[in-house]
Amino acid sequence: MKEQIRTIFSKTGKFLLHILQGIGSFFKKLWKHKQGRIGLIIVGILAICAIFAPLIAPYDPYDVTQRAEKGLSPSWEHLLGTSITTGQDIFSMLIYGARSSLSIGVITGITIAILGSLLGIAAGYLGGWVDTVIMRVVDVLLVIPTLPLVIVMTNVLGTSYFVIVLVFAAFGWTGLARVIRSQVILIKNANYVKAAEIMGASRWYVMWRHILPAVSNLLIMSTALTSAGIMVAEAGLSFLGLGNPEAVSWGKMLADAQSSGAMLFGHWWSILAPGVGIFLAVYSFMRIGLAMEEILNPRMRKGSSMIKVFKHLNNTYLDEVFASMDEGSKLKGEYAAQTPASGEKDESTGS
Amino acid sequence: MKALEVKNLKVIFPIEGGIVRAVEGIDIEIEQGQCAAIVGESGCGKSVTSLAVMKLLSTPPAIMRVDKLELGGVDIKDLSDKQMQKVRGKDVSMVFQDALTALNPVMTVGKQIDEIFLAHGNLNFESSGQEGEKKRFNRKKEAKKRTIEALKLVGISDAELRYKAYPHQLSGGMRQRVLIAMAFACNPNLIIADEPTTALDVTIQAQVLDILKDLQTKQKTSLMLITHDLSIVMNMADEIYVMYSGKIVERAKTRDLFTRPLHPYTMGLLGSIARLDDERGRFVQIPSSLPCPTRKPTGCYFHPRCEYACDKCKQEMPVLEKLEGGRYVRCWRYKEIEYAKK
Amino acid sequence: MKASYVIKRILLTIFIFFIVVTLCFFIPRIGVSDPASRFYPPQGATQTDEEYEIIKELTRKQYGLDGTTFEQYLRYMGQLFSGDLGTSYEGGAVIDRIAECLPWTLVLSVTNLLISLILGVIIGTMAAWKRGRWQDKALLNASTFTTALPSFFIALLLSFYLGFEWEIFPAYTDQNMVSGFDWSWQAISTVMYNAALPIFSMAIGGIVSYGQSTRNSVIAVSGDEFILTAKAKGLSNNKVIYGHTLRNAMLPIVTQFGMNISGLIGGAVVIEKIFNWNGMGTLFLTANGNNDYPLMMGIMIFMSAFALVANLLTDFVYSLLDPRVTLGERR
Repeated sequence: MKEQIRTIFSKTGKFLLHILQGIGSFFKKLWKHKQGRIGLIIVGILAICAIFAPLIAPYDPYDVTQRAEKGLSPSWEHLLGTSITTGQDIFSMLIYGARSSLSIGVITGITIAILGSLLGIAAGYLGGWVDTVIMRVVDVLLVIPTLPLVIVMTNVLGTSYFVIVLVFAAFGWTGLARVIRSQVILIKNANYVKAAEIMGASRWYVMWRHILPAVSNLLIMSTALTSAGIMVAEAGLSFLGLGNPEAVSWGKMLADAQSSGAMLFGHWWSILAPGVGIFLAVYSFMRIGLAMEEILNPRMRKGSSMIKVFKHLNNTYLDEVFASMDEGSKLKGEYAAQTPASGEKDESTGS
Repeated sequence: MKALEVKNLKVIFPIEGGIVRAVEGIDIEIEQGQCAAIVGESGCGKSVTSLAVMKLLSTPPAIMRVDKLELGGVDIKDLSDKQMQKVRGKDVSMVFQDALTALNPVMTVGKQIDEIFLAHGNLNFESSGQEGEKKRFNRKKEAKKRTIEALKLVGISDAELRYKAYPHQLSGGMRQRVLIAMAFACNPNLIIADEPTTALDVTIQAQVLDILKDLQTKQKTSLMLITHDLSIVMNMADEIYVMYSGKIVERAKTRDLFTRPLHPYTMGLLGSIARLDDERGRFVQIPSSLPCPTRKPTGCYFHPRCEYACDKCKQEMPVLEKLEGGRYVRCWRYKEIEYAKK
Repeated sequence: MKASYVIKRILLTIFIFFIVVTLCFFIPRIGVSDPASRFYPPQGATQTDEEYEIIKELTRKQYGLDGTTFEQYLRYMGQLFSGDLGTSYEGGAVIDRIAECLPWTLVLSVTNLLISLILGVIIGTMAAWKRGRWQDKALLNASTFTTALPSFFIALLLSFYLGFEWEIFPAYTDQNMVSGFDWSWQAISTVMYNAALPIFSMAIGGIVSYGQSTRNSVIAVSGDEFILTAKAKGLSNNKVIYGHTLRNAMLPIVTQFGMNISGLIGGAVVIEKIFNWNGMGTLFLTANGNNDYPLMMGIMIFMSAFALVANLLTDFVYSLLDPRVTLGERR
């Protein structure tokens, strides 16, 4: 019995280590990718703001005792001024707003990734009635308009943090499940998976060993993109006044600014600040997602590198390359191995 | 008159980290009504050659230079793309390898052949009306009539029915016939067939080749056959060009090449054909594979794989030497090798 | 297109609609023991409990909330089959309220969709043409930029600058526009003037998104071998681009367009709120604020039915455009 437990533990440990290594190497690749690095840096800054909000923010955003100083313009004391109705410090609210936006985005994104991949793999690999049921559920959820449904759900269940994550996750997994399902069907019919099945591998083994690793990259990518989408949706929901009323959130800041007449008074900063917050959060996650996509399918953007290569070519260099092919030419074959970088050098010496 | 004359054709593809030297100065001459085959491994530059002859390589990604490019005595070297459009499909046309991807999936095969007739005119209007709309209508009708004739010519039964079929509704052999019908549609001077049978079953291969050969002799068209399979070339081609890593390594009449190959690479290729009168125990194989196109070896490109390679082969690229009987070979040691083999 | 596929697809659509209606009926009732309780008048001092029960029962009947939940459900389904979406708690038939607001939403969303589609396809084709050059890069950057900018933030900025600061377009919808609408040129131009900002703030994202997918699709198709065949046939550039490349590249765009059509009614909730636009979104938010369940249910069922029909039509159209797809095999 003890032996068994020990082996289970060591196996799960190895498995976790494996996953961690995978994630580590992925971040390394992401860091090397220019766009991915921009995304990582912004996410890092926002995460620091969210985690250390009480240390960074100069005022308590929940504190409404500074009511004498309502609707201040930006100054050194209040970097982004204060809100019109309650006099809260906008800069501090901005910092605290990262908390709800990021955490809801990431937690929901991960929940959706788990839910979507499990259901997608189950539908694609098991097929039969499991597939039918899951796909019919997807059909139904795709048809009902999402935002109204979410509004009704929050009306019924309340607007606590937990409910918002739950509702977004419950209706957000459909797209991912469909993508994963079609991928799984492709992999299922691949010969290496068939070979494993012929050798007697069980369904669960095949799912763990072959299918999950094959779709995991796709999964990481889509988690980043869904998180971005969820952050937009959450901002929209709290803009409508249907978010968590206790938390400071960017969407609510926008709604407050609009309803308190920031536009009439010309307080552009109270609209711009939360908007830029939302933009940065969503943008950085999308950058990461798109960078991953490019790392996974390098063919996506080949055109631009082609243009780059052609920019570096010049006629003298090309003439030499072509001359080296002539009958009886003494130029060495190695010559062709020159990179565009050396072509660029030619250009500078030529001119 | 020569159907095709190419002198010193060079094509390169600049990429990140080097330049792919796909075709390194090759000469091709095809007499009217003859069939020339270009034979080589995949990646040796055959297909690029065929596209270059049609001037279908776009820049970027490719850069092409050629000293002489004549089709039926007409210089097409400096023709603009617009002028080339009048030449393509009419004076020179092409049969592609995989008919499923080479045909537009959302257009009926009939419409796809119609397009050639409509693009290259020459439709006589026996049945035509007077003006505008009606004339156009009749042009289309005429094109359809010709398409159905062309489909019948390549042995497609129920041509009227197949006219309305989409590519995915036809079998592989049938699709390839459609491509051949398309190529012969305007009765061009030269047809380039790029691995026309590689994607087909062996039995269908023979049928398709028969049609190709049949039409070629009947219509006195010249054919440039591109393939990696010497066995299909044997009955089709009058002359064979053996290509290796962007260069012609041997050129000879078919009979000469099969009876007396000179270049060790040709010998290797011939050694890997299955023959009925085979006395050898096993096939001869050529070790290793083509050199990387951005990093070709010094000297003869074939020397790393050649069992006869000497020091000279490793340092100097041999020239394409002209021998008697219209043969060419690119090898420093072909005489010694032939002597040694005897 | 086989008839059996068509029938199967339609039956499936009806089945899904049935489930959607069921969900829309039960979700608002989660955790509510007696949905009619908020309509009961206070118990009068002279009333006995029995009398009060009768009053309660009458109230329930008045709002259609008598009997068990299941009985109510059956009744609702019955009503629905005769085309009746019930009565709003605020008075008036639900279907009338929807009919009042629907055209105003369609003005916004249909214009937005058409502008996005047309400009997007043109821009996307141009970007594919200039692949890797600055036009293409500009489109890529714009697409990540606008997708990260929520449309309601764009709307707020537009209404702040174009509406309040520079006063070029109205920042709030003029409500007289709705009540006084009489199909005169003046009325129509007033609507267009008021709709400019909401449409523009939605269309920015739409144009870029259609542009980006057109660009990717065109590039993918131009790498296909049949384009080479078309060129080898000697077709003119225009024939190759319009007859072959775009024809095939539009297939994924049709799918995207179909998805957008299905979201046509429910997609502008936040934008409508910002500009105080009297459409379906505003109607829904009002219904939500008043806990007007029949109205909310009616709107959701209507939106879902619209989406279902749109999906069905998209599938039909797609199978006509792509002969490889027989109906029901896509997805």
